[in-house]
Amino acid sequence: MATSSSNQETSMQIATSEAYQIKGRTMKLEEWELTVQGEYPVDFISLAHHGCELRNFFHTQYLDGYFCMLNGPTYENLVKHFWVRAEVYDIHVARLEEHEKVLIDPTLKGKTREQLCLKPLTCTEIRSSIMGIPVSITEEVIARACRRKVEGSYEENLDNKTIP
Amino acid sequence: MSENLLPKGGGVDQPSLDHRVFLHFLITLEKANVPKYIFNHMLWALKESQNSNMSWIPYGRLLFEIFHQGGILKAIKLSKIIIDAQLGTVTSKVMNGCTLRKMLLIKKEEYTQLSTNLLESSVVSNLMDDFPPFCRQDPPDVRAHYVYEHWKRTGETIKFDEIPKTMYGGALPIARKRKSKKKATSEADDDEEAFEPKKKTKKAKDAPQEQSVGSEVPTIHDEVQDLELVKILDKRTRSGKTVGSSQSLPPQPSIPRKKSKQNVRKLKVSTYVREEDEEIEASSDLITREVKRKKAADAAALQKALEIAKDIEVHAEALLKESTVEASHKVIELT
Repeated sequence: MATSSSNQETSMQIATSEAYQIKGRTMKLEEWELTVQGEYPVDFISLAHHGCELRNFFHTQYLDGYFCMLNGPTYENLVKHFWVRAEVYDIHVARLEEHEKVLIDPTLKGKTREQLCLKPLTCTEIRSSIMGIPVSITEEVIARACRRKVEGSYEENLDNKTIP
Repeated sequence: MSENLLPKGGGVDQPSLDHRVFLHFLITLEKANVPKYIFNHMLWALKESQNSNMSWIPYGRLLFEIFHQGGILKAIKLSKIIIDAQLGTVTSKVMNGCTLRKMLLIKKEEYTQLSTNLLESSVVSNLMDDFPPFCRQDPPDVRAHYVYEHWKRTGETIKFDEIPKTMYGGALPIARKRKSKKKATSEADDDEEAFEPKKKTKKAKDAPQEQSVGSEVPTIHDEVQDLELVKILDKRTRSGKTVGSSQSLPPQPSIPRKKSKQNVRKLKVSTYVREEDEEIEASSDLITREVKRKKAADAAALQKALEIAKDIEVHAEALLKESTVEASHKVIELT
């Protein structure tokens, strides 16, 4: 059942890139139980005036765009709507998907994702939908929102909470 | 500050390893892969919410910005189903010198408000743009004032179509008051015009119902002209005397006089109304449609009144003639 629905999903997405999809909830929490942590806009000029010069630090991290972006409204209900339907799509989920396909049709064993009519897995994604519009968030998307590139050093898996 | 980039619920007294590493990058000016940190933190938070019911959603603004860039806001705006209140708009506090003061890092006296201080903005959202705080139910002068103020502030004019018909959550008490007043006055006007004629029409109607034959005496006509018509009319109708009707008589000079009187009164009213209308029109262009409607209504009312008046006058004519006939009869009897 799950595979058939996912199959439909992918085929639909191939046919029309802007197909609406209805996603189920992925957590037990209700939307009103969630709290959105809004980021605080930072007034660097005021901080610098009071002897707390930080612009340099963030400028080297190319985070000027990010802090510019922070000053604006947030539609909390939209974010909550997104969050309760969000699911992590990583290598584990992709493998599970492939496995399910093979279980249904054993002849497909050993074939690539493309042959299994699955979307190629390029990187880990957060997939969700807002009012039927599919949304996927990747590092690239976040980088674009921060107006910088995905580059720099990263200490992998230090406290075992990150996903391989 | 690090809470902005790697937010977590609860206190900040025990920073996670990621926090510390990130701070290390920040201080040593080594370039860190911030998007990757953010994304991984988001993944972690999502897994926490799914598995251990963590109720915090990190990066509210960032997620929203992604939606915005993805054009979801546009789609929502196009659908026009959802209003701002349903989307739960919030803007968060600004971190500035004031925060430092609260954190007791600087003394209260040292804090000064700068003119360059960052203000909470809602610029990104197109849905919030210039939501007029009034509606079409407001009195015209209030609307005109708002429009003028808005124009003064922003240099933009609000068109009539842009004003919402009703406020969200029902009609305004002021609007209701105004409406009822309007109705009352218009009704009163109508009554003023229509009340007297109605009475007369009733009486006039009674007269032709009981038809009695009367002879036409055109010669006495001139004599009766000098009599006070209204008195006679009242007398006749109050005493309930029946009189013969004669409709084929030529119109009498006394009747136009009466007509003109009535006309003058109505014209006065109408000019007053028009003057008022013009004033309102001058005050704001927005109300023109309503004014037109009002004008049309007034014109219709006027016409009705005129028609009624005409009817009465015809009947009055008949009555007059009847009275003359009776007078002539009496004269004949006397002689």
